[in-house]
Amino acid sequence: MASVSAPGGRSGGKKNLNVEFNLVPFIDMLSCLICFLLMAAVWVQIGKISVTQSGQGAPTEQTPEQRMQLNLVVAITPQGFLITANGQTLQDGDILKSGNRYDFDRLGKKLKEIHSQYPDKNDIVVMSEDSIKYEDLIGTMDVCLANEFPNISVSGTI
Amino acid sequence: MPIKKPAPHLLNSVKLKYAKKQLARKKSASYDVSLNLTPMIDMFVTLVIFLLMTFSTSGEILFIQKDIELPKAEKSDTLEQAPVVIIGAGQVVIEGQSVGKMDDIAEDENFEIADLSERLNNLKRNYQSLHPNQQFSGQIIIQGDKQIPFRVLKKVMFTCTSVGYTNINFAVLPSGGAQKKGPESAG
Repeated sequence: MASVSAPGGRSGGKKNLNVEFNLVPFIDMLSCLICFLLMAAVWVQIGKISVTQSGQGAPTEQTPEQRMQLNLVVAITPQGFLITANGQTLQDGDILKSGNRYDFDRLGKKLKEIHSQYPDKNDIVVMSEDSIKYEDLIGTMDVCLANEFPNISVSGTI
Repeated sequence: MPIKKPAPHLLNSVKLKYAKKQLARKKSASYDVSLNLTPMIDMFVTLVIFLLMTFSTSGEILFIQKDIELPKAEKSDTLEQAPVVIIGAGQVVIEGQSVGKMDDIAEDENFEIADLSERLNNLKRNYQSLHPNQQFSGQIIIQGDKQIPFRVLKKVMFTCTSVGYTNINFAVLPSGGAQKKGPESAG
């Protein structure tokens, strides 16, 4: 056992250097912290995709500058995707389903190609038919976000 | 000669006198057990570190309904506090109140859902009366099952935007990839 002789004390007197930590308050604090964090914990993280709705209201007269702008639209049909710009289908813009699944990879490649040609363009309109499932709409919007089109508008008119 | 029960026999190498002396000592049985707290403290510290890392200051904004399976998306923003419209399990629900069945809404020719519009208007008025100095943000969250058809979703979106909730957010489950932390939606 560690000890040291105390100066000025009786000869042969030893002072005990061993110190015992009192861990009880520490354990109490840990228990309280764990209880609080367990109650406040969020176990499932949920994200969001923000959109606006387009195609509402009466059609407005477009200015010449607006008519010059690229109006990019991705239409989701039961057969696949149809990418149009200013009302005209783009080359390779008709992307059919592969099997029963929408070909999001090809859509992503096409959008990437369009973005490389128009780097300032960051808005896109996603149109959908009534029978299209919500998960396919979300998948399409996800691909748009992944390919530098963060401003997404959703429209129901095809 | 009476027959006695034989005493315990010991081996020849052990002197019986010594054994008797040992056994004769009255030792009180000690029930003291020292609990080893080191592993418990290690576990507590590990648990605290894990919970601190997963702690979210925004808390639980919306609760996953058991009948609703959210779609997955790789690029998603962080969810913020806003009214929640739930579309799933055959009905449309806002703030715990059903505003219509999905089949009825799908077959209805009107784009606007009357009950939903009324409730959203109430929410908007409440917000404006409670926060007179703040601009109404128009944020709303749509929590929909991944199998719902677009014909119901578009009517819900139309109703929301007609009341003034123009910033629509679709709740999704992040699936791998990085969460997008970009600018707010235009609207």
